[in-house]
Amino acid sequence: MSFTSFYFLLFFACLLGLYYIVPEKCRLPLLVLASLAFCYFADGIRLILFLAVSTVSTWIAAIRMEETEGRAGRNLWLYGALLLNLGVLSVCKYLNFFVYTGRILGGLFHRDLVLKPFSIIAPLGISFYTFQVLGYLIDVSRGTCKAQRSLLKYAAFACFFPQLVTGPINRYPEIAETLYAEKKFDYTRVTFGLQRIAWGFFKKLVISERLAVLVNTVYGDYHTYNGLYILFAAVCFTFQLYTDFSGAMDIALGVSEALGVKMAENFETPFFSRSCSEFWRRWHITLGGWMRDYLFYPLLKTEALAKVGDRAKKLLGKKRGKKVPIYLGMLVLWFTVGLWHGGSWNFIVGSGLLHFVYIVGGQLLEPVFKRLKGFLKVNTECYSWHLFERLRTFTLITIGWVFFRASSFRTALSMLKASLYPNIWIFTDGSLFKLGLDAPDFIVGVLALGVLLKVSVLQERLHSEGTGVRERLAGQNLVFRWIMYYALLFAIIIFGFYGPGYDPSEFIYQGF
Amino acid sequence: MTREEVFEKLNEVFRDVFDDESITVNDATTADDIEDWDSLEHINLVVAVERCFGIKFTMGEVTGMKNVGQMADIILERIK
Repeated sequence: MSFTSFYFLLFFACLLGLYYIVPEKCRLPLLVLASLAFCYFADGIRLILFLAVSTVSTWIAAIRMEETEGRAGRNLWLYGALLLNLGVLSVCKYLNFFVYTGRILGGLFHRDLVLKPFSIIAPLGISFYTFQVLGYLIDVSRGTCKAQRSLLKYAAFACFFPQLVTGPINRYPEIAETLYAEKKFDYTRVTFGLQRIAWGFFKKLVISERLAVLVNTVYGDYHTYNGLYILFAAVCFTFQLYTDFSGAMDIALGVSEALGVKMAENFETPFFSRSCSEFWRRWHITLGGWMRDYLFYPLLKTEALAKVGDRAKKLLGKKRGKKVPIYLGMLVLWFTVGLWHGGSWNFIVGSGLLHFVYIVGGQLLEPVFKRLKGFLKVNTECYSWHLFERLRTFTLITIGWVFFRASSFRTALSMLKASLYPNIWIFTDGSLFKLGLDAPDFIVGVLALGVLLKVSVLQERLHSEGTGVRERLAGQNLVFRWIMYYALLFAIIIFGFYGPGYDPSEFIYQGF
Repeated sequence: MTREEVFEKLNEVFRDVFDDESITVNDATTADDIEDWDSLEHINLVVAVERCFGIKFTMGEVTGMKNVGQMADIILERIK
């Protein structure tokens, strides 16, 4: 049951009605039941079983950690639960990664290793819910939150359906505040939630699905297309991925908001970022935060990296030397971010190591760039320079997403190589209309992207003022407000890719 | 070790980590008061403090410290 299916809308409408009719004490059990029903319809009984193992194991381990005297005993529960959950995740998602990597390594040493891939299909959203419950477990072990004694309450956190298949990766102390709070029907909150769901549908059905046609045509037959076709498809995929993932987030956060639960934001207008490190603070924010707090910082605190830092300081001097352990930590971090996306090298490079190269390369070359800017007398405090920085970041990120979208690492490399052909005429001779979208559909896509840009600019401005687009719209006159609401609704109904004979593809991040 | 002695040692560590001899910390000093004190330098600082006093902060303490006063409280508790 995808977020964009008719059955999900029916499911959500029934739940929302029932949720505010039943007495307060029944709401949490209803939420857990609804989450289990969602799991069943989304991925069958196996998702419920996997989720049950994850939920019960971390629930017990957290309580036992609190009750156990002595560090060794507590660590036993912590590492036991970590091992179990990461073990299940590794078997489901990464077994074939080891098989294929073994084959590559065997090939390098001229050994023909007989390693057959396993046919295991990971349950939906396993990376999201596993990281969420492990975050909780680590928080309890650090003493930053108390273990939840009620299995019902904990299950409501671990299995909360809006976050299950595409995230965000919520932190227990943050979501618990509203998840367990008493809820009364709040018209503004529910309508704000519904508005956000509609905006998510617009992003997914009007923009992402439309761009997917172009992207699939070029990436599916990359031998036929070269030069600017590839660059065009790469840019389209960057927008497709953003509207797909952030659209899923808008639906998930909108559903959650209508139910009175505040989940963590996962995006903050990322394409306005002026550097790659800023981009990753504004794109998939909850994954970045998880990796930083539960992997990167603990790694930097280890004695081994501290010793590396000591040696580096002696060799390179204090200022440069102290960067060495940070870069080593970042290497592990980015490798893990890539691996989280999937057990193949195109993910490890495209969503991980390439970004490590961008960020560390940028830092190492900063003195050179600074001198160059001084020499060329570049004004770095003006709009044109900021625009250049944003376009540069967008270009670098787009190159990374070529690896993300291509079927393999090798395919991505050959596509990038083929993209260097300057067939600029494809933009004027109508060639682009032969990629699966006719001229009217193309125009709708461009206009929809224009709307997205306008809203993003507004979001960026209003965010700094501590407000949002929905709040601003709510302050407008009734007629204007309803024209906007109907325009959004009819745009989805008229221009969305859905309905009989058309099966909207699943959300891209649903596979992670 | 008295609280004053802890702060004397902390001053040395801060001056060394941030490469600034003019730094003098007190109970109310926070990351906003020292220019280069970002999240990465915070970890470097924590590691340097741990080594100086021969103690270990938990990750919960590392992310939860609000000011240098809280850091000194933890140090005094650990070295008792």
